[in-house]
Formats: sequence, structure tokens, C-alpha cells
Amino acid sequence: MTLEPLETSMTVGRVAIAASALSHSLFATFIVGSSLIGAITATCSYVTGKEWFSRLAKLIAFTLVLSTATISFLGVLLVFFLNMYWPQFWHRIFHVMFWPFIGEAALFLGEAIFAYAWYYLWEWGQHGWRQKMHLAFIWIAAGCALAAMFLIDITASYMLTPYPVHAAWENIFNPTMIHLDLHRWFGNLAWAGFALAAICAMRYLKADNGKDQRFFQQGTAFCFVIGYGALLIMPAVGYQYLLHLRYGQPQAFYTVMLGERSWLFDLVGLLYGLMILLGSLYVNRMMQAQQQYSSIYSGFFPFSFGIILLAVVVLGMPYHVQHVPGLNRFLDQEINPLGKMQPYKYFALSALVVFGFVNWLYAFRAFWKRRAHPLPAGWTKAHRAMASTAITLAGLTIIMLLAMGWVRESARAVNGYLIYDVMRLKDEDSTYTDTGRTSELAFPPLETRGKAVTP
Amino acid sequence: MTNSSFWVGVFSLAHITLAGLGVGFMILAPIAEGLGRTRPHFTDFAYSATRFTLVTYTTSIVLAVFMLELFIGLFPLTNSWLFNHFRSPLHLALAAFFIQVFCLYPYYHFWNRLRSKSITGHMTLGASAAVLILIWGGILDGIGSFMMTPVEGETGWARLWNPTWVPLLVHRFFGNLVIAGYVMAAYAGWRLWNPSLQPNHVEYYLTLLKTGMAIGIVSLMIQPVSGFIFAQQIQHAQPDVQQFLYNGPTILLVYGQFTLLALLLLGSHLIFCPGHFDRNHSHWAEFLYVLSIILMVILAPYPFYRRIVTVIVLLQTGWHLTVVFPVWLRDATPTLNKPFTRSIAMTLGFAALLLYLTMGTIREMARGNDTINGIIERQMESAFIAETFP
Repeated sequence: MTLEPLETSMTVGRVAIAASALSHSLFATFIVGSSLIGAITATCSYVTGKEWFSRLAKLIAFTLVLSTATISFLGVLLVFFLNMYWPQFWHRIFHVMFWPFIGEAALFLGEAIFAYAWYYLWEWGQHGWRQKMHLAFIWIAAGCALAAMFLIDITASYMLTPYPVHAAWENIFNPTMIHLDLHRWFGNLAWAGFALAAICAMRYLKADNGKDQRFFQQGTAFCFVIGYGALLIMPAVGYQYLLHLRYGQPQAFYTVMLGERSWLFDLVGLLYGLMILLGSLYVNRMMQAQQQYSSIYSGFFPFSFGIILLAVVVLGMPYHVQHVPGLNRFLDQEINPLGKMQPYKYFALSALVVFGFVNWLYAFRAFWKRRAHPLPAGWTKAHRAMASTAITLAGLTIIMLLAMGWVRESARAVNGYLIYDVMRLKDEDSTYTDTGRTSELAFPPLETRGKAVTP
Repeated sequence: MTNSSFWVGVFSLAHITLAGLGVGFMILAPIAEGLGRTRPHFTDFAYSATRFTLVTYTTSIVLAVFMLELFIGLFPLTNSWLFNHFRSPLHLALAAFFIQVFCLYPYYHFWNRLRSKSITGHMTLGASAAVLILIWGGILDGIGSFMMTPVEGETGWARLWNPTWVPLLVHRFFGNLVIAGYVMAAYAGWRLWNPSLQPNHVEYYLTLLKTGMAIGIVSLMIQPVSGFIFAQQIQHAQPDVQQFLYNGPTILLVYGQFTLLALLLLGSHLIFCPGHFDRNHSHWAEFLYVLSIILMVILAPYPFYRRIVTVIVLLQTGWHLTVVFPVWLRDATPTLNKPFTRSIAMTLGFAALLLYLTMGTIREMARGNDTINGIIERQMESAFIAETFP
């Protein structure tokens, strides 16, 4: 039983899998975040009885249904591509992570069923005892989505820090597992928050009556507050994640922090800073629009904006200049001392989080004390600018998510690994060209920390 | 390996139950929408059928992924071999599936908005989704048929052109319509139990019941013919398969298949009865019909005799339908709204689904110890897993 070599470059396979995996993860993370935000919104609607919460929950339900359908296709696409382009890797990882994969599929099934029930039984669940049951649908869907993410994080983290190779529980709770999961919890909330805010903002721009405009403004602000809040927690969780990566897989850590792909991490830093900066601009517009521009805030905003801007510049600066693609052609300098992590970037990150948090408090206050009556004419321009800012934030989040995914994958791929210390890219060579070695499905011997182990 | 096959089979059956219905409804929806230009009930049906497809869509896909994941884990060699040897057709299948998603969702979610611009355009969108899902299913059927009757071929496309591919496509196409028709009638039967239905709703569900029954029985009458061609191709390419089916424990499944077919024919006949008893049909003809159907089940393991009897049954059924359909088309037939008819319609929906699943199971079991006939044996899979991951 032999396999035919694909007779194409491995780059084709890498691009196909990267494209399908990244687009899949974009929707998967959105589903996890939006199901949780949907559950919170539906609960607010149930408790307060406010109509706009219910309307927002239905909007979230609709996006959740559409994204669940999309991801089910993207999941099929990814599984097909893995089977076609990386069969050796796919079968190896599947055997090691059989139960997490099966569990993840079962939980996604649960998420899909309950999310669909939540949306398609909307009218049914509006009265009497059905309200509670209807509310339970989205909480179960969110629970399933979170549990599915937990299971897939086991596999994702295992690929980077598979230590030790043969022990099941140690593989599940490998050094970076919990931190990756926590990182994704808040990352998903930030992404879904900004994405939903952007959807509301787009609808606001298209709305042709005052009622709709007010609703979409409220929706944008509500989702922004959730997204921005979650964004502020990311550095603390990310720091822990990197710390465990450093001890669990020093080579990978070095690659992304100081090595060949450190520029990608700088890009992530730059994007993060820009998001905080844009967020503070949005908060400023919010304060203006809500006519809550106090004298304290008048003094705080320019100062905060300046500090955040400076922090963005510092955080985005590379330390190893020669690793930045293209830049090394124009500069002889190898090191940029200002781009050093300690102390400069730590200070920059701290400034972003601290000032971002104060901005968030203002945003929360402005949202809480928002005015119910129509705003005076002349504010439309400010509102449109707010909407544009919210849309830009979502765009930046997408780039950020893709960049972070690329960073994590690069940490392995640059060093030639598909699964760190277990399986290399060259183990897939026989899938692509007739190497004369073997064209059968064959797993290389398991290795652990350079020491070959016969399975 | 038996356990492995069982679990893959369970999820496979769960998937094809929803997928078969979904494909059937996707085919019927644009046609019904076209009929709805003059009879609004059909537009309502097209909308409801698409809603059903959408609600079950993701569940069906996730069940397929579940099945595929089990297949990857439990049958790694077969899985790798198939994906490797059919990679080109699979690329086309994925492209078709991708475009299909972008046709199906706007078809339902922007129903009124798109119809207000152009009903024909909207129908085209629905029809495109149906054609694309048939391309997707057709390529997967090609792989499935290859597992039964493999051929030597240089490319994936050449392997797709195996002897049973086209017969399976036709058989599956009408199979989808059989279950869609009977399930539609079953749903109408169930809704008609509601005593507080308004008269226009009663009329709608009666139309649904009649249409579903008509689609179900006409498609069912095509199935023995398409099934015969399918079986002949299998017999020609793999002569030992029929022997295996009729002499092993799978004979029970064959009996089950013909019992369910008999149930569908008899049940349909009971619903049609009021349509032609009124016109003084002979009780002897009824007796002969029932006798022929019973004979068809008894002779299930003897293909030659069974086929002769089946032809007689089909001729009798066709003759009955020539009497019933004009009556159904002409009259409102409120007499169909009786507990007996409603119960029968619901039973037939269930029986059609069971028949669909039974036939799928028989096709999978017909390969015996091979996962791909003559290429990979189950023992090879077991040995591979045992050697690689002790």
C-alpha cells in the first residue's frame, strides 16, 4: 500500500494549511468569544427586561449561527488539507491526541445544536418558562464552545511543548497548556467584542432612523467595553505564557523573542499598542458624544494619549534590527538598544495597560450613564468617527490574531519542527517528492529531547 | 476492527440521515418555489424545507467531521490512501462546497429581500446550491464506489470513473428524494394532528402530505430499476460480493431492506386506497398486489425471481397511481385528514429513513474484510495501529 508523491513544492502544502488553519481559527475564536458575550447579553436582557439587550442578543445569535456554519466548512477544509498535504503529521498528532480531537468535535456539535436552537427558537422562547430554557441554550452553547477550545488548546500547546512525549496526562497538561487557554479566553473576548462592535458600527452607518442609530451606538459601546477590557488583561496572561515557553522550550522562545522571527513579535507589540491607542480615541469620542467631558478628563486625555503614543513606538521597535525583513539592507546597525525588552518594553507595556485601564474606566462610566434621549444635531460626525474607529479596531484585531498565530507556528517551523522534538518538516518530504526512501505512511521514531525512543 | 467499524458506522449513519434529507430538500426547494408562482403553498414549503436544511446543516457537517476523525484515528491507512489518491477531485469538491455555502445561506436568510428583486434570480441561487451540493456528494460517492469496485487509474479522476460510480449517483439521487418526500408527508401528517389548525393551514399541510407522498412513491418506483443497474455493475466488477451478501449474516439486512420497501409500498397504497376504491377497483387486484409484495420479500435472497416479482409490483403500483394522481390533482381530498392516514404517513417517513440507512449499511458491509476492495484489508489497519502505537 503506497502513497503517491504529490510532486509539488512543500510550500504549496504549507500555504494551503496555513491559510485554512488561520481562517478556521479566526472564526473559531470569534465563536467562543461571541457565544460568551451572547450569553452575557441574553442574561442582561432577561434580568433587566430592556428591549435593546434583547435586540443585541438576537444580532449576536445571528452572527453566531452564520459563523458556526462557516467554521464547519472551514473545519472540513482544514481536515481535508491536513489529510492531503501533511498526512504523516496529521496521523501522528491524531493518534497522540485522539480523545481531545474527538471530544472537541463532540463539543462543537453541542455548541452548534444549542446556538442554532437559541437563534431559530427565538420567538418560541420569549414567554413564560421557555425564557429560562431559551437562556440556558446560549449558556450551554458557550460552555460547549469554551470546553471545545480547552481541548483544542491541549493539542495546540502540545505541538510546541510536548514534554514528556509518552505520558498522557503530562501531555495534556503540558507546560504551556493552561496559559495558552487563558490567553485565548481573553483574546477571544477581545476579538469577539471588537468584531461585534464593528458589526454594530457598520449597521449604525447604514441605519436610516434615529431608533436604529441609538441602538447600534449602544451596541457598539457595549461590545467595545467588553473587548477593550479583555484586551487589557492580555499582556499579563501573555507574559505567563511566554515565561512557561521559555522554560519549556527555550529554543522556540529564543526564535520569537530574539531570533529570526522576533520582528513578528515586534509587529504584535506594535498592533497591540495601536489597539490601545485607538481604543483611547474611541473612549474620548464616547465621552464627547455622551457630553460627559469633565475637567479631569480634559486634562487626562492629552496626557494619556501622549504616553500611549510613546509606548506604542517603544513597543513596536525591534531590538535585533537585522532580523527585520528588508530593514537589514538599509541599516548596518544590528542592535537597537531602545528596543530592549527590559526595561523599555516592560515600561511601555505597563504604561499601555495602566493608561488603557483608566480609559476603560471612563468608557464604562460613559456607557453606564449614557443618555437615553436623542443627542443634539451636530454629533453625527463624531458618531460616524466612533463607528469608523470601532471598525478599524476590529480590522487591527484580525491582523493581530493572524500575526499571533503566525508567531506561534513560526516558533516551531523555523526550527524545522511540526511537533517540537517529535516530528520534523522533513518527515513529510516523502509526501511531496519520491525520495526513494519510502512512500508509505510511516511514522518516524518518537524522539524526546534529542534522545530517540522506540515506540 | 469490528468496534472501529461500528463507531465509524454510527456517526456515518447519523450524518447521512441529515445529509440525505438536506440534499433532498435542497433539490426540491427551488422547484417548489417555481411552482409557488401559481400555488403559494409551495413557496411556503420551499422556505420551510430550506429552513430545515439550514438548521440541520452544521450538525450534519460536524457529524461528518466526527466520522472523518474516527476514520483517521481508526483506519489511518485507508484514510491516507483515499485522500492521497483522490486529491484532485477532492479539491474540486471543496471548491463546490465552498461556493455552495455562499449560495445556500443568502438563499434562506435574504429570502424576502432577494425575491422582491427577482424570483427567478432567487430560484437560480437555490438551484445553484443544489447543483453544487450534488457535485460535492457526487465526488464523495465516487470515492465510496471506488472502495467497492476499485479500478486501476493514473489519476484521481480516472479512479473516480469506476463501474459503480454513476449507478450509485443515480441511486443516491432518487434515494434522497424518497426520504425527502416521505419525511415531508410525515411532517404534514404530524402537523395535521393539531385540532386547532386554521383551515388554510389544514389545506397547506394536506397539499404537503399529497406532494410528499407523490414524490416519495414516484422516486421509490425508480429505485428498484436504478438499484438493479447498480447491483449488475457490482456483480460484473466484483462477482463475490453478491455471494457474500446472500450467504452471510448480511442476509438479515437484505431481508430488512425488502421488508421496509414492502412497508413503504403497502403503506403508500393504504393512503392511496380512498382515491381508487371510490372508482370500484377490484378487491382481487388488491389481494394480488399484497401477495406480490409479500413474495418480493420472501424471494429477497433469490435475485432472479425477486426481480420478476418486483417488476410485477412496480407495474401494479404504476397502474394504481394513474388512477390516484388525477384524483389528487383535481380534488381537495379532505378525506386524507384522518387519524389513520396521518399515522400511516408518519410511519412511512420513519420507514423511509430506516430503508435509506439499511441500504447504506449493506453497501459498507458488502466489502467484507477489506476497507478498499482488494487493496487494504482490515487486518492491515489493525497491524499498523498495533505496530505504530502499541
